Amino acid sequence: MSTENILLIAFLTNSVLLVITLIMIFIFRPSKKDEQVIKKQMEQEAKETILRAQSMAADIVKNANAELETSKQFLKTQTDQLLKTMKDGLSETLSNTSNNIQTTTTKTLEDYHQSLLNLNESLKNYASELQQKLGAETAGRIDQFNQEIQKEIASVRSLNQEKVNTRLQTLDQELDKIKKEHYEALQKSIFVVLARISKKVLGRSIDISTHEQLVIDALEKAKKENFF
Amino acid sequence: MDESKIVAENLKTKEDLVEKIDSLNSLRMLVFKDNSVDKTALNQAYLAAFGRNIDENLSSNREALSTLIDQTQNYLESLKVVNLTLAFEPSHEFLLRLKKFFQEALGQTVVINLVVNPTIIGGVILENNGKYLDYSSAAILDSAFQDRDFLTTLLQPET
Repeated sequence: MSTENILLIAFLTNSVLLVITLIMIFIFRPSKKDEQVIKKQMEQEAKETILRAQSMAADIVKNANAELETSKQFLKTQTDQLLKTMKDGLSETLSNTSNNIQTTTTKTLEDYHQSLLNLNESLKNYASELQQKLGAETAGRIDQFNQEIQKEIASVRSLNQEKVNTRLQTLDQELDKIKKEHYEALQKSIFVVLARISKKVLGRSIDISTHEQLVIDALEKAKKENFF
Repeated sequence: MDESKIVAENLKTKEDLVEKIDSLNSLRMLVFKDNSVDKTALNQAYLAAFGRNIDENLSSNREALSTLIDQTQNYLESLKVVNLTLAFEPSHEFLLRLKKFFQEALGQTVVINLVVNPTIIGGVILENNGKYLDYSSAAILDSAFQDRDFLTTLLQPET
């Protein structure tokens, strides 16, 4: 319990006693005559009571102050001790933690280094193994690919040869056709030219009597053929 | 022989026929005019249409003259026309020879519708009653030049 609370309780207690006393005095008040005596006695007693109460309050305050001082000292001592303990503990903890971290870190680094070495070794082995496998696989594939390419080349050669032969045959046929067409066109042109020349030569060379005879011959022929 | 046939006998070509029908039409126009037509003019028109002078009776009988004109024109328009293409311009004598030939062949008076086309070279092209006959030298040559095998053998050098 704090000092303020103790003082407050003491003050309240004295106040209650004072009120009760005053009530009792009022109830059992003496006669007019005694009243003054009683009044004086009561005033005296009240004064004494107040003095006692004041004395008690002063004692209480004094004790409370002493108690407070003691508490302060105790609290300060406890606090200092606690702080010292905490400081020492923290320092120790920090020291331990630092040591632990350093140890752990060193170990972790060593483990990590070892792991890396192991991993490196594994990778080296794996790479070597992979290289061998890849080498074998690649060689196999290359052989296979080479064989397929050879087949394809042979096939393409054969196909191309066939196409070339077919194309040559077609070209030969087309060439023959063109030759024939040109020959026929040439023949036709020659005949056309010959016909024109013949007509012109004939047209100029026929005299009137021959013309007339040609007409008469043609009409006689038509008559024989019952044209009329 | 009546006047119409005499006129027809003297026609050789279709051009002659057209010219004669024109003459008949000119004469008809004079006949249908009033009586004041000059006799000389009438005689000249008659001479052009019929080839001889008009006699006095006919000259004064316009109705008879008109009938003669109509009959002649109808006859001329009924004449058979033979289409004939030649390569040369025929002489008058040759045309008469041709006319005689057609009249004998067909048994009637004909006029020739003559076309001169030198490209047929020689011979004749005939059209009669919708029938066509090409006996031209050009056609014969064309036919000969169609026989390529024959021509090819001609083109070979002689051995």
